[in-house]
Amino acid sequence: MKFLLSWLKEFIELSVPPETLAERLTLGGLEITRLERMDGDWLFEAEVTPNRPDLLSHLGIARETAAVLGRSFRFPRWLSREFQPPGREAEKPFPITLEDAQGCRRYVGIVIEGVRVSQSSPEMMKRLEKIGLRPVNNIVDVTNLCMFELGQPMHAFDLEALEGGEIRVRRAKQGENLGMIDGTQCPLSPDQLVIADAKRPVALAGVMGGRAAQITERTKHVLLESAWFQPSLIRRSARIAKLSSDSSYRFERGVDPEMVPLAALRAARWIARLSGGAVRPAIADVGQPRLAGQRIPLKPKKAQEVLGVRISAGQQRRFLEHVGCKVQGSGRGWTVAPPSWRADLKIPEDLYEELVRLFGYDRCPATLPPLPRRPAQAVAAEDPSFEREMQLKRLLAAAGMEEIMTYSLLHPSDHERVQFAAGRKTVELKNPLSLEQAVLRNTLLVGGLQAAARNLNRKTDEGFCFFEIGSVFGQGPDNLLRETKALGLLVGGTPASSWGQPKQPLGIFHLKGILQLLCGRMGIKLEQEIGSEILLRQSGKTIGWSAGWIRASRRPTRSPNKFPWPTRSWSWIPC
Amino acid sequence: MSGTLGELDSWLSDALQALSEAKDAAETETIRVKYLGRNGALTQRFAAMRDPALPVEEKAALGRKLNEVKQRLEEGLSQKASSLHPSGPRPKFPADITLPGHLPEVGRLHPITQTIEQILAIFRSLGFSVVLGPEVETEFNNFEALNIPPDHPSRESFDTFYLQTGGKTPALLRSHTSPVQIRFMQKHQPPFQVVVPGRVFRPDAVDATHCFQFHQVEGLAVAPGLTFGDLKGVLAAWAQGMFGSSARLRFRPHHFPFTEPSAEADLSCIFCGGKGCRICGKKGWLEILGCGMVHPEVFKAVGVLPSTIGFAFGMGVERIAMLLHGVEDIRLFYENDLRFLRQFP
Repeated sequence: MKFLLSWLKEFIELSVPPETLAERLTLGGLEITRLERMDGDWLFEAEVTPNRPDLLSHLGIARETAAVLGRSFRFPRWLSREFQPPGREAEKPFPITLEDAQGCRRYVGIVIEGVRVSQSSPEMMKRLEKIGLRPVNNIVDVTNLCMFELGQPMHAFDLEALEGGEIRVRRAKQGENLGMIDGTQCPLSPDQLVIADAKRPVALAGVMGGRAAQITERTKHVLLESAWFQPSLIRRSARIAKLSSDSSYRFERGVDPEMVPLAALRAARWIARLSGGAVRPAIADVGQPRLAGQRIPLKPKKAQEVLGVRISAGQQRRFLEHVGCKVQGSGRGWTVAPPSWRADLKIPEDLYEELVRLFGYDRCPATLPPLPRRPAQAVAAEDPSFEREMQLKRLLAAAGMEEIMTYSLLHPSDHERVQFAAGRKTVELKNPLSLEQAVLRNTLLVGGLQAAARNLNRKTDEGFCFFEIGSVFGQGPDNLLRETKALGLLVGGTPASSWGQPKQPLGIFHLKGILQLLCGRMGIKLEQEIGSEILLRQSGKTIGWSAGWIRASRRPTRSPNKFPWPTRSWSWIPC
Repeated sequence: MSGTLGELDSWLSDALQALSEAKDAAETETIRVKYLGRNGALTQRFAAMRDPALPVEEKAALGRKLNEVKQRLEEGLSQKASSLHPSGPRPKFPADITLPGHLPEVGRLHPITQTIEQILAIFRSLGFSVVLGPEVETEFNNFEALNIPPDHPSRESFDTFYLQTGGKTPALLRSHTSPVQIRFMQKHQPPFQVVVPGRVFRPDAVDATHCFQFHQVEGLAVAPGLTFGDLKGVLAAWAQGMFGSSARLRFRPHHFPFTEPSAEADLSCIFCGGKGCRICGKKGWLEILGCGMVHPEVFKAVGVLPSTIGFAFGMGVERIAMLLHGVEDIRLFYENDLRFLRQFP
């Protein structure tokens, strides 16, 4: 979320320097990732976490600024005037039907008559460009500016283009399409909510407007839409359409339901002033006017206990009021009503976070839990397999083996290339990033050979003794996925020798020596050395095997069988 | 024949006599060379044994005698040597001991393994136990039980690889180590303190700081009376153990669905000491871990009383290893170039 200091100052009086403001906001939980001077103004960029959609507007950031600076916040007078309800309704409002009252809880429609569509003022265009938006025309620009001002996304329709002179908020029908502004057709599904006129969809609700009823230079009358859409529905809808907009970004996180009519009034008045139009006093407002707010019980003493810091009840109350909560009750137990824009506040723990962040995370003393709170001895929870694995790793390293770590995701043909695939089912990813990382490894051999290739390709003729311990994945005949920890050993090449010592290539007997060492320490019997296969047995059960020689070319992973060069060996045992 | 044997006896007595009179190592050496050197008297006699004309019986007697004399002479030499050097006989050195030694072949642990060990050692000293979990997980463990509902924007931070399996329930590669919290709490009643190292997966395009696989260390402590201050204290103690006693942590409010309150902790930049440099982006702080008090919904999901109190934290191992060793590209950890691997202790 980008915001401008000059814009922020329309909502709140500020005397702190921008750097200090950035620091205070960051330590209050709104991380400022960029602060930049921009022709006489300051541009801030903030990382807004998904639980705080209320921070996706200048109004929201002004509220937050007041809270972190320890002040309460009120609408500035100019804004309150914009929010005034219009005069008496003289006629019937524009007809709007909510067919999906779950998907759209509230829909406000205001008509502005007799507009002249033109360019926005240079100041408005500049402001839009500074926060990264493209100016369109004076109508659309106002809806965008209002979204960044108040957090409420709105949409303007060309009234005369709405067939049948009505709006229906409904699910899309199977086979329906929405003609997009760029001329393409967007296929729709019943999982999506649309804004339709009597005949066809004119917008993908909360996501994007269509071509049919868009504002053009010929537009005379405007229908302005301000609504509250169900967040998960908008999220799914945007995903289906593979579209994302500033609007869907806000709706899928949840907009302030109380802002729906206020933002519409502000935008309608602004449009009327700019375009020489007139706001029709009859306002369509359908759906639930109010959503029942949360009531959260809070015990100030309990908050102190959990946070491990003394924050007085009076101070706690002030912090909560600064974020817009209404606090009722005595000192022992309160009922806290969070403001309409803070749907993320649901349980006492949410309030603890408000308290401690406004108090200052860094002002909380850091304590080491005393022994009664450190029940190490209470549970012998330690998983012995971790220490066993570490012992094995240390033993192998002491025996001259280098530990490697390779990718768990492989190319689908990798297993075949090392002739591992026969009779074994590998596990594929549903959504791989690329073919190179599309299946789960069923052997450590591929990664081992890739590591060998990498070192051999450097043409420094050295030896390598690699080992890796990692999970491999296969599918049994029952189609159940099996995750096993495996050990891989790979030796090869000719290590550099010291003076007076003969240069010797590493071969099967080096590998076998390592296996014997391991088996000796782990109480495993090495037996059945048939040909180039070595079986590892424990209590009469085969627990591993050696694949014997890997005949490898200079680039072993490309064509392991092309040029016999039997200096590498491989084996694995599950551990 | 007997003359030869007598001659040998007299050589021996001569040699021993000479040895007893020798004053230093040089004289002893002269005696050794005279009898046992390459052209020494005894050596020549040994060579003469190869004469095929020598009768078998004579050969046997002569051999026995020669060996006896050689052995007694060697004993005399070694006694003399120890009397000249009370500390024992001087070992035989090659001509030039400035030649380099023969280095033993020793391998090493991968830098990620080393970093995990280092991280865990500190938490173990604080009373945490190590537990593990699988890399293939269920949606319930990876998301739902951790208070990350479907179609929720908080899933955005946890893009995930799903698997093609025959089973009915979708399987995925865990996108964090937090599902092990769920597995552990389903089997153990609090109180406990555990740390979980492990490999995790996220569909991130590979670049210098991102990879589709990386490692995390997760921590979970649940006990009556634990506080947010305890969380800070444990992590501050860890940071000092890991990065030195001057390391400081700064806690910032953040959002994780499975903790409330949640925090992100920044480490005072270990390169500039907090003054601001290229690596910390002139901020003086390095983002290092996420943490918070366990969300009641998580306790509810595993059937632990929601009023229970605990804290949890998670950190990326590659990031810490990169900071500790000044590694600038995460891909180096998985390329296994020996020139890279051999730079670690």
